[in-house]
Amino acid sequence: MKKEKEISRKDALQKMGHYGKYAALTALSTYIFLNPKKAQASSPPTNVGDGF
Amino acid sequence: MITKEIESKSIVWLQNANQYIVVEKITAKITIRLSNGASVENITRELKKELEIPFEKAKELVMDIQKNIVNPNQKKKESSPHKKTFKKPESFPYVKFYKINSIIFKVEFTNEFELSLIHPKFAHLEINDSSKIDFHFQVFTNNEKTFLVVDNKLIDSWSREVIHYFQGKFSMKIVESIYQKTEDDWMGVFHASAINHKENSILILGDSGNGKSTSLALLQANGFHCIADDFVPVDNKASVHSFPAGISIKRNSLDVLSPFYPELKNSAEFHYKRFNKIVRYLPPKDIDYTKSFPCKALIFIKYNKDLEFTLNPISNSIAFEGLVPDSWISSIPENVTLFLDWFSSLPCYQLTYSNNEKMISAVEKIFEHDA
Repeated sequence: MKKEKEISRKDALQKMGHYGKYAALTALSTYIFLNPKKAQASSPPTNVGDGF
Repeated sequence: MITKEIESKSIVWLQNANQYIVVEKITAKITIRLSNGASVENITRELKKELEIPFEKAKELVMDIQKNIVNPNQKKKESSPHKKTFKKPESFPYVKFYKINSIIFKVEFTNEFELSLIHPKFAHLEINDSSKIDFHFQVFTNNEKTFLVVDNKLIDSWSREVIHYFQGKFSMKIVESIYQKTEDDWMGVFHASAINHKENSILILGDSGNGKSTSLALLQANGFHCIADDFVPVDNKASVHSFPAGISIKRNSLDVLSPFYPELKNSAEFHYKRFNKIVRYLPPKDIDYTKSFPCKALIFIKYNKDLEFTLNPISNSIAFEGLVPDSWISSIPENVTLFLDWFSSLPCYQLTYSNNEKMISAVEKIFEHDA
């Protein structure tokens, strides 16, 4: 019984390692592109009703 | 390319695209190496070793960075120069004179629409006719485009859809004139409100309708000094400068602000049908155009009567995502470096409030807080 548990734990650790690496690779290929305004602008003319 | 590490991420500025990307630090390093001519194979081998991943996985990642980041930035985007043909009117029916410090601006318009885009926020600066004129602005319409000429030099023209860029350029030309600085001398212009307390300033940011201007007016009524509303120019020494426009107050804020500013009840109301905005303008008090201020912090603000007060530091990389798309930032490399250095050292906060006193107290504490 003990041997079965140890193997299961080892498998679990290996699986976590794979998921961890997968998550790391995903993060490395995640890029957030941000575009500043091309020129100075006043408040954008979006419809915000009366707002606050 | 310019890169800056901020917390656990890197920010990379792509010069030709004038674009910022927020990425993992390893991704930024690969990007820089690829743009400096390092081979995909070499980088892949090193990445494989560092991350202990299969060669193919590493190569896939490097190729992805090449394709999505490096390649699009190879070529500078050429703006297609188009010849602007226009005919300047012989006369301008609407003429206004504005005095900012001791500087006199003569501004001419051809119709009420053009006047409505500019005059209301500067009305408190209007003076009678002046024989001494320091700067001459002319606004006119040709072929459904609005033109701006300053001291007989054409600046640009704009269609109705992008008329807020006309307003922005007008404001920028005012700023350049007051401070005798060209556009290259500025780090950026931020869509924010700015206040000053003692020798420092704070920028208040947030989406339209979140309460930037109303918060500014409340703070001004409680001992802080207004530097700017909606348009905050910061120069290439990272100094926050005053902008002379009135503070725009929406109708919903009148009840909150009237006790502090009884004059608001009788002040002129401007209905911008196109933008579905009804605003009044509150003159800023005691602006000193000879002074500019270092920035102590950025506060992303939101007023909501149903929410409890919260004040939390936010990560600079998250704040960066909120700041950049709403800002004009100089695309001169030295100014970009300055911007990234300046921003990386700024504490950033998210402030949500329904109670005005708590908001004011929180802002005071941020000013008092030693970095």
